Amino acid sequence: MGDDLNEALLTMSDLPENCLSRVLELTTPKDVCRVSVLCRALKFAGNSNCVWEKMLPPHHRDLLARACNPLQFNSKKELYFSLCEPVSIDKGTKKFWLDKATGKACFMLSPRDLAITWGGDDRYWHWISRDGSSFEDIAELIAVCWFEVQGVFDCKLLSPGIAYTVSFKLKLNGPASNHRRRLGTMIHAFHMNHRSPYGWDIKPVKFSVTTSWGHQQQSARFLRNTENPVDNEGYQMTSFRHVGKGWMEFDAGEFFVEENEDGPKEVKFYMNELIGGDWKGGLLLEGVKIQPSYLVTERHNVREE
Amino acid sequence: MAELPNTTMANECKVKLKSKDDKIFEVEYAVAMQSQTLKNALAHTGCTDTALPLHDISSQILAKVIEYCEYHVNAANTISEKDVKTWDEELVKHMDQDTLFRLIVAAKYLEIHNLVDLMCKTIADRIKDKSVEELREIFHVQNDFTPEEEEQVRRETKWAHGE
Repeated sequence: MGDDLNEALLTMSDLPENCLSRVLELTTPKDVCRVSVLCRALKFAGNSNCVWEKMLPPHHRDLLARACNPLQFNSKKELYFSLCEPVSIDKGTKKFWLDKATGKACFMLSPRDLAITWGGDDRYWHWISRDGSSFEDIAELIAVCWFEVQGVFDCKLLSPGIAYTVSFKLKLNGPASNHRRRLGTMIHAFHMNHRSPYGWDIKPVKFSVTTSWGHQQQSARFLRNTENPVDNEGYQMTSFRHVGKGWMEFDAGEFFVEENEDGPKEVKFYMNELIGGDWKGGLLLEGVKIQPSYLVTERHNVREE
Repeated sequence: MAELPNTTMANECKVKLKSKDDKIFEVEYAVAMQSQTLKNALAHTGCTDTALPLHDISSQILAKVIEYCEYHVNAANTISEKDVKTWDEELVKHMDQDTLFRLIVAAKYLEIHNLVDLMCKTIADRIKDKSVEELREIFHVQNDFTPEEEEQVRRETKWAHGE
């Protein structure tokens, strides 16, 4: 029987294994990796499947089933890190990845996943291919009066317990560049005439997010001369960020994903300019991003390159 | 053969517990029932005057366990969840590392599930957002890696170390 005073201090690695797992499960991927550096026993505990299973989003198996290419992995930890790089799902119409530090699910929807009014008519919209874009096809607006893009997303795929922001990623055309344009199944290389953006100074574009549980946010912003006020129209100003190479992400809105809630949950998002009646053109739409709101507030404005 | 005490007996039954350092603690039956381990033990022995020996739990730790169980038994239908949570937080707020670990080991042995949960969450909160150096200091962990092993694990987790 030992005397209390002479007993060595307990350390983390003295904890019963399932206690240690429980503790690590309650931290974050970043913390688990830091703990792994302390000693062999903690490195071992930090590699356990129980711990990394908890770091993966609840619906990761559904998402894996929808992947375009099957993922290979030998452990939950390996799976976790594979998912930190974007994975194409749903025949390439969406991408999903995890925020490495926290394991929260992030999505990017291609314009093919959205409903673009007049999008199928090549008098008004073209589908083009550009190096460096997230998807094979992105949408280029040639000209419309009726500018309307909408989408819907199943919130069950998101990580519960946090707020998410929906953003439209778009750009007003710059100098002419070599687009490759999709016509049916063929892709042609064109040297496009300079198609300057126009029509965006007259009325602001409206953005909104509506959830199936009744939450709604609306806002508006001019895509050119973005500081022009919109409150005479009765709207809040849409937040946006420059994300490099002329691209901008306009935040259609924010919503909170509750934990432990049953029933269908979907979010609809909408971008439009319908009332002016003016022709607008020269815009590229890369898609819609759905990401944890904390990632949005952490980003600094990137200067245009 | 021992029988489970009926309700009247249960109300009058006092359970005796003996710590590693031979201190005797007397608790109400309902308090002892917070521990699945004690519940099972008492199912065999019935209400007894003999102290149940807890070989690995010191009197200091056992006192804390009893404090927790007594509060939670009394709080059960009378105190709001929010206030119970505040009490729990106060209990662990200034607990040193060693006590925390000994308490979680005791709670696990005694199978007091909500105490185990509280301990796990408290330790997890102390881990969050700390650098490796801070973790090593707070949790007194000795480095037993070879230099090569350490270099490898640091390389693999490089992303986690930047601020």
